[in-house]
Amino acid sequence: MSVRVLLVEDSRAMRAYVSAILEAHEFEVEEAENGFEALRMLPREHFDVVVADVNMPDVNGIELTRFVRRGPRQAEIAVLVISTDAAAHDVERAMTAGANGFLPKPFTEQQLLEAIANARSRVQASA
Amino acid sequence: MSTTRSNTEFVPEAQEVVEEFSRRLLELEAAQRSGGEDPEALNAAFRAIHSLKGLAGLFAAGPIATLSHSLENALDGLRLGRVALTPATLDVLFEAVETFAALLAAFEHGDAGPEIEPLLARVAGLLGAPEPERATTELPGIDDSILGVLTEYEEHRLRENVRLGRSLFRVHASFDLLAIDVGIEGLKGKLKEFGEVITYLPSADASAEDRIDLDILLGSNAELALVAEALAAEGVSVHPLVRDTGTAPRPRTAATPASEPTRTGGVIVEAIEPGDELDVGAPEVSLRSLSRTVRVDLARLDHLMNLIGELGIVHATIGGSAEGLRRRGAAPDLARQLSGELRTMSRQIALLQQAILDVRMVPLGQVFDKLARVVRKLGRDAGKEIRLNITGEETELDKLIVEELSDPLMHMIRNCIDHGIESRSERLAAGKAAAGRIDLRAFQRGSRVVIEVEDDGRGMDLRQIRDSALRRGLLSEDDLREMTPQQVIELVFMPGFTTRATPGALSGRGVGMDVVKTNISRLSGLIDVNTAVGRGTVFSITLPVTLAIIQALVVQTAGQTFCIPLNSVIESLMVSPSDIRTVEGAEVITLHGKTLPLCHLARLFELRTGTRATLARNYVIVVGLAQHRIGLVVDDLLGQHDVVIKSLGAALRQVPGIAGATELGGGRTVLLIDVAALVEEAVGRDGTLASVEASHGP
Repeated sequence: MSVRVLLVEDSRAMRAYVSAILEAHEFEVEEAENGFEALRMLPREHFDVVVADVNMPDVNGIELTRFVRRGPRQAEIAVLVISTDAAAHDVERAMTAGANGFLPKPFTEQQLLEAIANARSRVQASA
Repeated sequence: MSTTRSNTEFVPEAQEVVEEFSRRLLELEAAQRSGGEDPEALNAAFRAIHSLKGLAGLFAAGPIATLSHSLENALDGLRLGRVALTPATLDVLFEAVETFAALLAAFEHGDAGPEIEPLLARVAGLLGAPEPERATTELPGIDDSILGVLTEYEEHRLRENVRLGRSLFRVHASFDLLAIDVGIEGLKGKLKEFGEVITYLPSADASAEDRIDLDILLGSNAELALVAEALAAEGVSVHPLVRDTGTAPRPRTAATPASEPTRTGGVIVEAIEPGDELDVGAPEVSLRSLSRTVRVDLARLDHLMNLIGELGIVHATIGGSAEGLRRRGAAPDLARQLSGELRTMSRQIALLQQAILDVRMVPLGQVFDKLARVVRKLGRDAGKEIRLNITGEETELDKLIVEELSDPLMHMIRNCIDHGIESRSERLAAGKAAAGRIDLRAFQRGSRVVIEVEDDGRGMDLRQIRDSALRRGLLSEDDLREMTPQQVIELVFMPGFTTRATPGALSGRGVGMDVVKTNISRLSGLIDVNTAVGRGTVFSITLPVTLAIIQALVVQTAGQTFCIPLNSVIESLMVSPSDIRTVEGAEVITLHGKTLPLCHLARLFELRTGTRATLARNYVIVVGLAQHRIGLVVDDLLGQHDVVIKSLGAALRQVPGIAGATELGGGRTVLLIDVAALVEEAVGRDGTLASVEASHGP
């Protein structure tokens, strides 16, 4: 069964970029363009990985990470947050809230794939 | 990279983002002018640049990426209060808007864009002067479990709200999982009436499986009771945001045990009273996302429009056959039924046509935003303070027309500022307000859209226009003597007319007004001007709503059928030969007190015709192009039709006065009159209204 990814990112271009990479590598990707959409999808669908932008309006990536970590399948879902380098403060909080990895923007195809693999292995190790 | 996205996607998408950025800057400037702040606009400006950076990175648009990266840093500093937002800062940001526009144009054409180094230095300079350190506002009584999930920006906004003496509330809401999008949108609007929403905290243990609970942090000047009462109908509960002293902040680890009693709001004060939480009565809605737009190439819409046009022709042909059937008296019931159904079909085709046209419509606000920027810049350059009032920015026009309007409107605004609006001292001496006023208005009038640009400046001085026309040798003194005041004013639309290059005589207009006229005419638009010395000038542009399909007046002359775009038809009237006078060998009639030159279509196209005298009456179709009017003389009016414009075959392309062809029922090809060309010809080179007849022999 292919790995299901929930991609939460408010920039359309970035969503298109990440989706294209992941789909080319046989991930199954669902896109959410804001935190609310992600909140709607998370309890109802099965995801293996959540890739979320940290700095989104309304529900931010830190809040989303904590939501995942307090949800029913919290130990099984890998959370990878993406953000610009400048947002060190926000990334630190996301990691504290339970993210399994951080990937600074901009990133290459290879970097994205590696970051997802690392985040997943961390979840599996702690499971 | 495994992804290749077409470069053609980049430019329009980036342009949209830059426009959003520009809009937000204007909001910021407006807030600044009224002495306030607009953190929401500032954050939105930051986000726009953040998106632009992402886009530019993906498409390897180097300079755009570099500039947006540097701007993103500056805007981040601004929104976090580290850098002060001054008018000088806004100047730099507005300059960036212009530079992005130039860079995008260069990117599209594969040119080297403008040099960005100087601007980069100015942007970096913004960060170089940090705001004098404000003592960090304490956040007493706010639990770490909340602070821990705020972004740096959200935390900053929280502090700002405390600093401004606002109360902080926790608004608890519960949503049906499926309807959260809709529910949130509704609630957001209500909350914003009371203050600033800092963040939305989702809670993992909702009241039911198919629900989701949110704690919304709100900073407000209002009393809790007031907010609670106003939001009662939304099914939310409002609580003060203070620390529950009984709960120590808990350290969190990457994997919080599942057994932990979890409630986002659990560490926050005040348990929610039973019955406090009502359902948000939002209806169940679809799972689709909030953004529901598609980008469509205009060419595809044109294609659809053509297909509908063909359908209209088929409809007309069937109508013809039905009519034939009815005349023969065969199967009268069926014939009646058929014509009834044809009427239904005709209505459906009209609706279909309208639906496609609606898709092409965009609000004029897009152009008006650009103009607001121009006013700002030019006003500053000219050292004049100018208030721009915009109304009707929601008025919609065909996308193509809106695009073509930027330049003419830009010229007109420029003229208002350069020539119309007086200097501050001149205005004060004339007893006017120190700040000049420009009103930009748009509204729909029937099937047309009117755009007016009005200034409260010095108006146009007829004497100066006359002097300038003489000096430039555009007209002789005799010509000028015969002209009405309105005709004199309209000289400003002549190519080469300007009063600008004359030192010491800055009044009057002229820069590029001929360009304005040409552009407006190309859009089948009319331009009128009204002016009063000392009080100001109004330019009115009247435009059709769309160009893809036009309503045409079908006329007949010498047995030939022609279509005249209804857009350019001002009125039609019946005249008898005795109404027609001859002035200097040219036929004219008097209409509304003005002399209207006539042009016989039959003679113009050298059609064989019986002598005109044999007809007791003629029809005169008054058509206008920009500010000029002429009367087209035809034998008969056949009615109005919606026609889809088709281009001409090579043979007819050379015929002046013909703009294109279209088909009417029965596969008849009908020629479409090029009103612009006829009027241009009638107006002649010297700008006076010479008759068409003069150029076609006696």
